[in-house]
Amino acid sequence: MAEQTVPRCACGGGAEPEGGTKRIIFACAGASKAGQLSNEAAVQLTEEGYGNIACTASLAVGTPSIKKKVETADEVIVIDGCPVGCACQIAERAGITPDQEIVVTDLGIEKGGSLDLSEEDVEKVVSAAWEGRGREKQEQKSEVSGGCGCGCGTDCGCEGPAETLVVEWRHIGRDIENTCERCGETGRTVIDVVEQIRPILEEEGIAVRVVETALENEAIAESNSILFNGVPLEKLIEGMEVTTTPCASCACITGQDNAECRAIEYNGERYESIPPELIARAALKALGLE
Amino acid sequence: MVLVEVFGTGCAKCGRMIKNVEIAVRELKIDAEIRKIESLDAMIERGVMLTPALYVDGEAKVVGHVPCVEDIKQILLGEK
Repeated sequence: MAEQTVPRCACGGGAEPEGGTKRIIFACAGASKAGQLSNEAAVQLTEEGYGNIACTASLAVGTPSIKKKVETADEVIVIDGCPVGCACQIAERAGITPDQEIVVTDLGIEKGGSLDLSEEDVEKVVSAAWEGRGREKQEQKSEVSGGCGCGCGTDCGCEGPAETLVVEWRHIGRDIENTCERCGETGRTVIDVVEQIRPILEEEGIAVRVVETALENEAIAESNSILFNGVPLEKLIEGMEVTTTPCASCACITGQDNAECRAIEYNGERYESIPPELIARAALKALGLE
Repeated sequence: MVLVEVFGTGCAKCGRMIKNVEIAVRELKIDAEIRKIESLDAMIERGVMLTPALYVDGEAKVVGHVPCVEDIKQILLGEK
């Protein structure tokens, strides 16, 4: 082999030089601007030689080829569009702890809006990966879940794992941008409330995550509902009743002229989208903190 | 003052290296001079055979890949 006499560039083809870091990138590719940005950023990162984009859907169904790719990678990078963190949840269910978790909306980019992606927004996400900004999120998680598992981050010798609060939001329509108006508002409120209470709960050693369940149109009676560790909101707050009211956007989605969607009644008021204070209160009740 | 040299031919990875170095220096608030060296002759003279490369005060610290901002901070603080 001829001796190398000029400097060689490590760019191109996604290939790191021998001994370099092999990265695999999973993007949520969700049906919103932020979701599509996650995918576009993963493509650009692949083109820039940062790592190689891989199929998140394939990871969800556990194909052998994707497992092999993960096993041979040095680092796993997950890019999610929003704090629901679907790609991260898929990775964790596959037994993978990502080395970086980047959430597009954490970078000051709105989830919704036009699907015409701007180069500026793509650059923000790509830069975050190169800069290693997604490590901070994973380090925060490991601080909570590390050690004995109580949440203190050390081997303090206490018994039992850290508690987890799973907040499940159910709705018809395929996602937050394509559900009925009140369901969408409830979903956004769930995400906001969880982000607000997360630091407080993590201090108590309680992990919290949001699960979004898209229902078939036939299950409209369950749409606009929230469950806390499997318990419905209305079961957690005394005096709350479930009712239904006419919903034009549900009619549009389901094709039923007289479609009705869930609402709740509490303290003499009727709420078509669930207010944040009731979601926060139900979360605390589910954990026995109120 | 710390002398930080980034060797690269102007490709994507070299650009990312420069950007990360600038962020690390800014966040550490240290007195540093950042030099971007694109000349092949200068690289050969310094023995740089794989780019991007990061030298701090004349010493090779990273060759052939882009360190994240946190890693560059540790290098600049002498922790790596």
